[in-house]
Amino acid sequence: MSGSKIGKYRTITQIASFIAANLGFTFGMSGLVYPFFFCYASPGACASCPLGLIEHAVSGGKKNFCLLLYVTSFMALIGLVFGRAACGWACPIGTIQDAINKVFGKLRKKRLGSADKYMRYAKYAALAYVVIGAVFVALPTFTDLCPIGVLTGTFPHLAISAGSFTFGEFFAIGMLSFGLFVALIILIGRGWCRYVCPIGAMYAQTNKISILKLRIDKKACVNCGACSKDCPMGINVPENAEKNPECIMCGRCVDACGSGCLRM
Amino acid sequence: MKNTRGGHQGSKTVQLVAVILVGALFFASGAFFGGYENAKAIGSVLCLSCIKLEPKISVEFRFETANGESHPQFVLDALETGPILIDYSQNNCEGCEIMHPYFEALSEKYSASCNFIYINMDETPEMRPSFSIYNVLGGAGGTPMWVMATLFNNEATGMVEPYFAVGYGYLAESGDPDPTPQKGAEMLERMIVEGITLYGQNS
Repeated sequence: MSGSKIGKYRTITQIASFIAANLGFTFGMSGLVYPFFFCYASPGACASCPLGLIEHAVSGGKKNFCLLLYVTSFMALIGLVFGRAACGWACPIGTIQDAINKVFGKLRKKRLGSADKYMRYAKYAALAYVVIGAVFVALPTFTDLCPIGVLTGTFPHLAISAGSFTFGEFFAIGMLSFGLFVALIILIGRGWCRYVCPIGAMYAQTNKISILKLRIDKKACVNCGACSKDCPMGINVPENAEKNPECIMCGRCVDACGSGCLRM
Repeated sequence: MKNTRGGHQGSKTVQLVAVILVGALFFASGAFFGGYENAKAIGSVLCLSCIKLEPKISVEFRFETANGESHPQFVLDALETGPILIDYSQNNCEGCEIMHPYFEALSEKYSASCNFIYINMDETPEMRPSFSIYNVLGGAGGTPMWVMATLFNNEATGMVEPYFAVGYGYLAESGDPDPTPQKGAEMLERMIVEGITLYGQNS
């Protein structure tokens, strides 16, 4: 498959997903869980961030098993069917990074080397911290530090009703965290997804067992490198992309391949 | 590849069974074990830690409840003996954790002349509806939320009625760019004293 056919569907899905995430303006809050990163404190939120719900379920050492099961079984279901495709096709934070990549992507020339390989594990530490930070009251929770809360929560609230708020205790830290987030996603394509996102960490390993898969016909591959060049996650596609936890199933490699050896 | 087809079909069957099982778990936990309602209730209260903001509100007493419903029975019962300060909190609420010791200290100091109740809405979800009765900021209001309910003469009706004031977080007054727990505790104490004074004049 050549051309940008998958790309068109992906862009439409990303836009629709962003609109769907903000349906709270019309319908209010539901009991659904976002299968991607979006803050439930966003003024238009219609569902809850899975990380926030997990924190609520284990906060201070309490164990709300039903809530924990509800969130984790939902994430597991999405992962079993789609693998990490929610990252590539639905997550508004992914969409923002894709938009930034369009502007800054051409300016990034360096390959990232071995540090990139080890830093991919940092997101699993972030996921562990979501639980640890919530269980131990003396620690700030992940959501206290989360830059996505700043982007999708703080800024929209200040834009809509600035006069109703003053700065909270973690405002300065939040701004610092947000600044680091912006630097990361400008410098490194899908940097948040690669190194930090705990939700990406939840989905990553499901790529090995999901129904939706990227398939590579290595016999047809002519090693032109077009697929790896377009991969936002920096994967060496012909060698590593199948069942790779880092693959967000965006399909850019499929669109880029002129030999038809990649399919989803 | 013909001889692997059976294996391929087998793994597809396993995948399908896994999806059905996990899907069933998700559906059951949501529909039958309260997962959906729990998530909705949690999402409905603004997470002030997530947005790192504090609502600014002048703490003013009023008669009309936020959503037009009547005062909850536990408040009406408490008002038989004295004013009541309510501490609404929930899990995963840093501000709630920080302010709670101040609430405890004030509850000991004023125990003879004021009622105090601590409500963690995750632990006692049946108390959640009363949050909406007092949440005057609506979508901009989160936890901790403080309600001082006392009695006052309503000139419009000519009757002594419940009269309440609401604060949030560190009770940042309008124009204060630097709310702190200590300032919040001082504001809480002022609310308690005013509530006790009004109660004494109107009960």
